[in-house]
Amino acid sequence: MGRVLLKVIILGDSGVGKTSLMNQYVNKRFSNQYKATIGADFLTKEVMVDDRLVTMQLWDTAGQERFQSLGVAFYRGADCCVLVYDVNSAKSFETLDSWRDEFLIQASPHDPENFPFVVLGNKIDVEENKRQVTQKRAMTWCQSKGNIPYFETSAKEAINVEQAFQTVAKNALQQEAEEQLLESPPIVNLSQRTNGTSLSDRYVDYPDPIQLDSESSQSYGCNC
Amino acid sequence: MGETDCSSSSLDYNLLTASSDSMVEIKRTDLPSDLPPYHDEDRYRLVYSKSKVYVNPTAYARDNIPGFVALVKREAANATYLLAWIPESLLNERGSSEWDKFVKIEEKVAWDEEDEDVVLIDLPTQRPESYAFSVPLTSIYSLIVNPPTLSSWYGSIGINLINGDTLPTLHFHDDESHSFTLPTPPRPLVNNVSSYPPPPTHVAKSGNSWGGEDLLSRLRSYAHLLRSTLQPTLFLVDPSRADIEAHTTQIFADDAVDDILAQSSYPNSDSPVPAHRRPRPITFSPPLTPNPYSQHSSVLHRSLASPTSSSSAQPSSQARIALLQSFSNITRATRHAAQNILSHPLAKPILPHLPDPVRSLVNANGEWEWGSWVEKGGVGEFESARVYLARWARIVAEEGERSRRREAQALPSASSSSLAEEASSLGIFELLQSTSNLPTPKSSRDPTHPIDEKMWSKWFAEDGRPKVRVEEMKREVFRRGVKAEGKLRQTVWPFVLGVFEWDATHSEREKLWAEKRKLYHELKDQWCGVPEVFDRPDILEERHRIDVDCRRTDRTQPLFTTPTTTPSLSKTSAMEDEKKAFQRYSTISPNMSDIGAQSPTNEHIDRLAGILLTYNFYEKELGYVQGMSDLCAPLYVVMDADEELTFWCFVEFMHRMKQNFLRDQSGMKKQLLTLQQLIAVMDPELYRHLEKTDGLNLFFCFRWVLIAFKREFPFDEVLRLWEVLWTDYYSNHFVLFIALAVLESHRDMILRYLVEFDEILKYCNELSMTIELDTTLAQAEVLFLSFAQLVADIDRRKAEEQLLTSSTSGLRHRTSTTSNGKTRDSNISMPTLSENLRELLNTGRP
Repeated sequence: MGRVLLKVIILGDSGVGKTSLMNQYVNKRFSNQYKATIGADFLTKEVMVDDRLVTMQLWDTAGQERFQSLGVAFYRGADCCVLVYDVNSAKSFETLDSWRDEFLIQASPHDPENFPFVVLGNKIDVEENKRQVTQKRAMTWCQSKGNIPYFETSAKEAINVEQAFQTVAKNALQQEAEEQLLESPPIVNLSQRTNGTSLSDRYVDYPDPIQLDSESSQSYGCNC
Repeated sequence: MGETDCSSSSLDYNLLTASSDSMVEIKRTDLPSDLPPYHDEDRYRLVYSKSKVYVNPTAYARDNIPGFVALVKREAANATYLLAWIPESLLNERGSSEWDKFVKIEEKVAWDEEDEDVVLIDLPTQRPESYAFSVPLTSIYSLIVNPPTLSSWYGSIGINLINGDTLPTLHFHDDESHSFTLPTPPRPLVNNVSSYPPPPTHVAKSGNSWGGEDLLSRLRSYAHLLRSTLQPTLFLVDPSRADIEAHTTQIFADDAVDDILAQSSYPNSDSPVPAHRRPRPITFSPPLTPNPYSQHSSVLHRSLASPTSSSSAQPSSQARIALLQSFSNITRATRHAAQNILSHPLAKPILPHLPDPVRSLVNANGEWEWGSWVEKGGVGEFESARVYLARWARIVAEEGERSRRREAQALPSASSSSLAEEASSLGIFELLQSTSNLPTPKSSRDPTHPIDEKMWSKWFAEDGRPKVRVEEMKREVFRRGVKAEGKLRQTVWPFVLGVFEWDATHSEREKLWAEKRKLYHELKDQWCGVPEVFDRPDILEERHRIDVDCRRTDRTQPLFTTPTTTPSLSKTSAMEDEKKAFQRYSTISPNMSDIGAQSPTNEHIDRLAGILLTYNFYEKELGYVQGMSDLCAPLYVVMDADEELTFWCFVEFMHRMKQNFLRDQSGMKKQLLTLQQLIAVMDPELYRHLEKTDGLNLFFCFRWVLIAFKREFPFDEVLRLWEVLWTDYYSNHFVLFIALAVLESHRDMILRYLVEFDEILKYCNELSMTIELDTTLAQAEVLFLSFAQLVADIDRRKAEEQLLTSSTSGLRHRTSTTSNGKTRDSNISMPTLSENLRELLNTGRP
């Protein structure tokens, strides 16, 4: 059987460090010069999880909620979702709820209750007196949402980044395995697939092509 | 060896410079103030040097800076070894004797610590623009080593410091470097020269395969280098125990990167690659002549040398040119360029160097087995290989194209035809010619002769009225662009954007401008210094959004680089208090309670943020949306920090772009849908491919369209592109033709190699900073003209048909069913044009 591909979506308010975390993890580097992400991009990294070599595909999207209506194309088939906030910004923490809800609506996983999330409190390298969200507060929230694993990270100083994404990989792999159990035998719409071996065949939910002209896609008011 | 003291808590490094530029993320690192001063009596001994090591501040080869990489021993009570990079220009300034020292050390084959022939040098002084650096080895955390591969001609080494900084990446141009072009001392050949392939032992003897490897092997004498098993390109310098544990877990897997790395750079017996993973013997024969390309430098060079040098002494560079030429012919002639490239006989020597997944596609005869690849491919197994291959094919094709153009330039008569020729490789022209026999349009652009002050002033009379038609002036801006040097753009842009009336006198313009200035300040005063507005929750939220983005927009532009010096809090007179209170409610960023940890700001960033906030009061529906700061920052730079001009230019720019930022994204959806329809008409094959790959949503063009290619070109080129777009010379939506031009020039790669939506997205995202602006603009123009022709042709044929049916309607009346069917059939062969597509022909704004 081929190598496993795990799709991971990284979400959170703009400026909390999604791109930085991803680059620190994959490229082992940090820059103050990352620009706001426009559209979407991803990086891939091969990791060992329980003696299996898997490829993680980490998706980085724009942090402004206005662009989230486009997210559906990227969220489908995700195996894990990483929620990121800035420990120095209470607001970025308070929006985690809506990021989580939004993801569950758009990705529509089979078993939303047990879909794996991982929460990262980023930028812990900043002086302590700037911190606005305590570890306790974050952990309480994570527990209330079904014991979401929580890591405090610094993309700048490469603190806990490796460990956090190792957990992401592990939970994503587990999710992937469960999805496959649910799916056997896979239901593939052969009429739409000619080569029959595409990535998306692994999902029961064959992603519908986005109707660009439809007015049906949701729009989200701002949170204010 | 390497027992240097690194216990001091402050980082003991002397970073001479690390400047930054728009292209690469070279972080500016301020000189730590608590640095122990280096005394005059400190002696710096040059122990190793290598020439032609480049720093690339931008993606453009013309900006590359050549220099020497050196290992320097600071001879003090406890000696420190420093890794340094010194640009040639700095050495030049010091005269030939200093230069000679570096050359001498480079030439030295054997090296000896106690050599009495000590070469002492001065380390150059700090200079922000020179990129020079010297850092103690103890401050280096890791090296990212990328040996030469098929896709990059030169190997490189990136240097990460313990404090998290990254130094400019060093690129080893071995084909120019002295130590690699020296005639190698004759060594006994075990084999007869004619035997092919030679035994692998030969490889081991030839020493280090590229400059970076050479440097690494020398570094090993001063520090412990550990190659990470997690990431094969990562080398840790004097790693901690924790790092050693983390990075030595052996992974047994067929890792393509590892394999290519092993093949290209670690043929030595002391290779860190475990024995079972050593490369298969590289098949090339020993060169007869000392040939700069034959033994060292990139894999492609080396591979190409083999068939020729084994039979004759033909210089391999000739072979390379021939190959590149044939590549370029192929790209022009066929649509399966890359496939043909790789089955080309000259390319065969490259094949062994391809990563395993790619190589497995080539059968014994050197032919591609695409079908089997797709079958075997399955779950993402070869995904990375496909993107790799597409990217590589593109680079080869581009290199071929460049060399072809260089030749064309050498022959003046040929140069004029090169653009037209180029255009003929686009898929659309086959379609155009096959369906309607239309001539291929030509581009009118002339970017090498931009509008200068003289020409501009000639267009206007004494009183400021234009002497030339407005359309004429816009056409010239479209064709030539505006001179980048000086401040002409500051004058011209407000006209092109529509801030100033073209058809008016000086005094009329001044009057209108005074009104606009007044209006700007009225708008700004609605929030500036008004606490109850400034701190209103919705404004607070807007401020936060704006601030976060402005702090990370174009920070490499000089205006935005320097951080603010913190204002002194010494005296507090009544006036000072008032001033502070005003500042509290006028400066967007510093006093926000919940901004999180962001990059530092400065006065220009604050002002940029102020302009964007004021725009919220001018255009109340939109709100700040990500991407707006990208559109505004270049205006601010070109307007030379003039707040009012920037604001009104931004208003006009947004007038064009507003639809992209609507809350429901309807504008972006419409634009992408129009682009989709345009592709369907202009390149049905590409359309069908995108359909198959779930790519019809065209999300890989999202960034291009949303911010008008701001992120795809270097800053200076963005300015050139935007002024062309603003002329609306052909179409109000010329940006879509630019998008089409980019897609068309990569259609072969996309059709051939990219079979999944995410692969196309990755490929397109990585085109950023590799697209040639003027070629693309010329192609976009030609595509527009072709589109217009096509529309006219379709309309003409439809009209003819109607005429035909109406004139024969009497006769056909009774045999309606069959004839109707026929009429419909002939309609199907002609593409139908949507309203969106017809709108593309509109120019001029309401």
